[in-house]
Amino acid sequence: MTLVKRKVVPYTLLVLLSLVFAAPLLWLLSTSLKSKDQLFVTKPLYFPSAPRWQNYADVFHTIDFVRLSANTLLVTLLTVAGLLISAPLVAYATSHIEWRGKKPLFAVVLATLLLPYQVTMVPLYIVWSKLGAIGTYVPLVLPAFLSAGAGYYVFLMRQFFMTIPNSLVQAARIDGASEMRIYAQIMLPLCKPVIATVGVLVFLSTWSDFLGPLLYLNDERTYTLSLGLYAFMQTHYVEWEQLMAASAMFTVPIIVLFFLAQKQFIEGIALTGIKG
Amino acid sequence: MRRKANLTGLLFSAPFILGLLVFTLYPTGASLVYSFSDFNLFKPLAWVGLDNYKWIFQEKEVSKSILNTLYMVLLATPVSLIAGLLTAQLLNLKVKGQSIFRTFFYIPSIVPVIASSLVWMWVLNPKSGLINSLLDLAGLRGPNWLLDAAWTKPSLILMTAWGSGGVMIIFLAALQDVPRSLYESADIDGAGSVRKFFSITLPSISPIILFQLVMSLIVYFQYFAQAFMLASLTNSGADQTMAGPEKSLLFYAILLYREAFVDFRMGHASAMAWVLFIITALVTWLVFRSSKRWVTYGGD
Amino acid sequence: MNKTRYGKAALSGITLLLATGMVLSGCGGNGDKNASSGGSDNGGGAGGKKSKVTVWYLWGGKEGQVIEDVIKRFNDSQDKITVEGLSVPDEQKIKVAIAGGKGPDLTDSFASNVAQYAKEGIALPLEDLIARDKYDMSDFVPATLEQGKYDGKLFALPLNINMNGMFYNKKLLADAGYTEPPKTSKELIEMATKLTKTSGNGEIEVLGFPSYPGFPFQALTYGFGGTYVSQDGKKATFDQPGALEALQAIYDYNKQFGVNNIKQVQATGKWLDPTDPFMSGKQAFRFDGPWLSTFMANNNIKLDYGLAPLPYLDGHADLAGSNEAQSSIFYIAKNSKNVDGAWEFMKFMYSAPELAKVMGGMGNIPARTTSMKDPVFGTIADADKFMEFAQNANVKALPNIAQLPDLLNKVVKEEGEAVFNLKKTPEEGIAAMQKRAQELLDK
Repeated sequence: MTLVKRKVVPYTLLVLLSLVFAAPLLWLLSTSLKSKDQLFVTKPLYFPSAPRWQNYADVFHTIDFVRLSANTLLVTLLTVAGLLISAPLVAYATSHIEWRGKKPLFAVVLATLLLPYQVTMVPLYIVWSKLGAIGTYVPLVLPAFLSAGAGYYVFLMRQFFMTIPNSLVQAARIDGASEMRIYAQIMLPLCKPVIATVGVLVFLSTWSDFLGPLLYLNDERTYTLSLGLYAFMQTHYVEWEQLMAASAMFTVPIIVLFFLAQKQFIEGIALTGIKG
Repeated sequence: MRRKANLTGLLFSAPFILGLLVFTLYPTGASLVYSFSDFNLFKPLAWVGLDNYKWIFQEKEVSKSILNTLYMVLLATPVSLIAGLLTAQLLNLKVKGQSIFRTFFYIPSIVPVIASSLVWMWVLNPKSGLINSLLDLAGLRGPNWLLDAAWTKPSLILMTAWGSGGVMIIFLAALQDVPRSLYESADIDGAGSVRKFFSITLPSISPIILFQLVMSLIVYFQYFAQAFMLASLTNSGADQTMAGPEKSLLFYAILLYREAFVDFRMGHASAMAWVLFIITALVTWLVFRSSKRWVTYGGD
Repeated sequence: MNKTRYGKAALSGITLLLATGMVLSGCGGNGDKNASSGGSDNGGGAGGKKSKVTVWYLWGGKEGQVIEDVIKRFNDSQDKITVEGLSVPDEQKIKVAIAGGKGPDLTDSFASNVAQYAKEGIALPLEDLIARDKYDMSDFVPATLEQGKYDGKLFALPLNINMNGMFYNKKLLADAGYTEPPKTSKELIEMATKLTKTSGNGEIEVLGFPSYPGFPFQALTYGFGGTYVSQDGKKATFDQPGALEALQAIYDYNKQFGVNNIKQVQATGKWLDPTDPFMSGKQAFRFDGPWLSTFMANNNIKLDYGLAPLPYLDGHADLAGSNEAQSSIFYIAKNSKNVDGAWEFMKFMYSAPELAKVMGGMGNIPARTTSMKDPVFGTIADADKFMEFAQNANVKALPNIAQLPDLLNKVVKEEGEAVFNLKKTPEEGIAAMQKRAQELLDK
């Protein structure tokens, strides 16, 4: 009885729920392997008996998938790099440096969480257009190097930094270590989990970002995957099965990334979520 | 010593402060100025006083979009929190293969919006979609989902539950940190698992619930990408209203985007943004006020 | 963690943030005064160096290639200007790009947008260029030329005359014992009802009515001889015969066969794709443009179909051939840095032989009478029929007024949708359209 309650019930639930969560993605996979006339077949769980792998190859002819991926990767990596350079700095300043701005600045970080991006969207667009930066990656990438609009990530980092005992920092100060050295050689190594977590989170959100590229990129040659696929379906004669194949390829890298980073990722969140 | 600390603090915060000034504070102030004026990129700014705010209160589309947005906020928030908490609770049971199940539950939340919209558009196809063809097997006729004004938002709620993995993973982290000893002493008292959930689990993670609640409220007040994508995927022709059937997908952020970047009424858009800001701040404040009654802070 | 404390901190943070924001943006407006200083004329290949013109177009695929071809011919024809083409299939993107100062010099759109673009200052008036070059426009079909005008000034040149014809599936008609397509509204409604086939649970197997790809109110209204707005753009005309009959026909059909069932059909296939219900033999009547014929011819779709004029309002034989003409247009962006270059390319593309090649390539009817006579149209499916429709005296066009997008996207769409979904009666729908449209026009 307890065995049923302890093992069978949870397992059944877990397996069933996993199926529910996976179903739409399996559907994506099956549609991406259909031929045109199988698209509207009205059988649930229909998987084409002769999968049409050609759809995947065709994507590369219909749209410049390689270029779109390269663009997306470039924007994503730059954004991740920018944020991982700038955010820990301010996280450190609001956690372990006893200065006048420590508390007010943290309050501002929290306040920016409440500020809807719509408030800054229009003026920023105007600024960038005056600077002639529309159509370039600058408006997408530069803000990350200054942690702009990244309150949530700064918050996550600061929370983790707070879990590092201050005595450690103090001891190093007494030993005469410079602040930069304490930061680089003590803080950062200790905070790897949260840096990894934030890195993954930023990667995921930038990789799939839609609004930013929609606003700032004009030329198809600079499009990211999100925008490229969106443009692809705005045109007539959409090749649905190819669009599905392209979407599958778009999604795979982030699933892989999650698998690889899973352990560190959960660790970083686990600690940040709890300790105050 | 103190002065030196002030200088170091400032230096370490310098990039953030610069970003704050240029990319947050300046535009926030500018949009307030814009909200009292009529202008776009082609014509100079003209002061119009409160006209844009008056427009917000008079325009039917705005009230429609507010109702739609409230629907999402009031339903999607609890749905995603409850779905996230329940799946987290399930994953927190000591079972083998936890990491595999965790991945299954988490992946949907990181699928790019464009891909998930595309998938759901097909899953919800009235005739050949997964859901309706399953219902068909059971002899039932499913609704027209994204084409029927009564079903568009329930479709989005469904997608929300599916994508609740982000909420789930934070709850999971919180659950794993609830001290074992609390459960053990409850076991000695002979408490059932339901009682343990309500008297130990929920209070222990209540600060996290508060955090997630506030973050979700903010997300759904600003709900945009998914609806934008679905509205443009399901409509045929050169319609630029992006509103879905009978405007049932016209959310506040979508209307705001349309005013700004389709119709170039930057004044309207800026005023709308400020109203949104005020509403967000107000709701957050109310939630925090109420939280004193239901959030318990542990000993640390 | 102590959240209440964070709550307070956040709120005081907001205050701080706002205060600084105010100060910083001070007179935030000042910087915007010179926002639209574009439209200069520093192009034109001065100094022997080639000047560059960017052309963005909404077409993709085969149609996009047609534009690329004319660009290539232009580039080969002279050595002063290089045109670069780019397919940007999202009109909104193009507008936003022009607004951001990084848009094309020349781009295309639909005539219904001209007034708004002219008013918003996106499109450049062509008067000066036309006067300077004494550009002869007498060859353009006058009604289409009107479509490029706003407030008496020409902002765009029409490419084509687009209009709907009634496509019908001959086999479906024959099966039901019909040898002729419907000529009047009454015949259409009768036949559409009879030709609709449903399964046991009400699902539609063959759609009789032309409610695919969308809601056919506009085509029906203009086919029945009705209009939305008077020619001078001052009066709403939904209360004239035509519109009510069109809405009534839609309402009755939807009531009989079920809104949900019809919407289900609308979701089953993709417009202009082999899965399209008409091409797969599941739609009896279809109102669509010449591109449908071209698509079927190019994609080797074997369907025994006929093409006839839109049915006219029963009892009004004098209104036979009524239809609505629409055009695609090209316009020069107001902030183009190479107006002269863009204009040179425009003149090239709109010359009679080039226009024939471009429109022939897309299977559209050109807006110039000389181009229409080009032999290429003898080889294009149904081109003869569409030209005949175009020349009927009952063909009308929507006047170019800045309120047009709001009229179509808000008033007509909202009220029409309410009737389509049986939430309003046709009479209520028409009354609301008339009232709201008139309010809009009076603004």
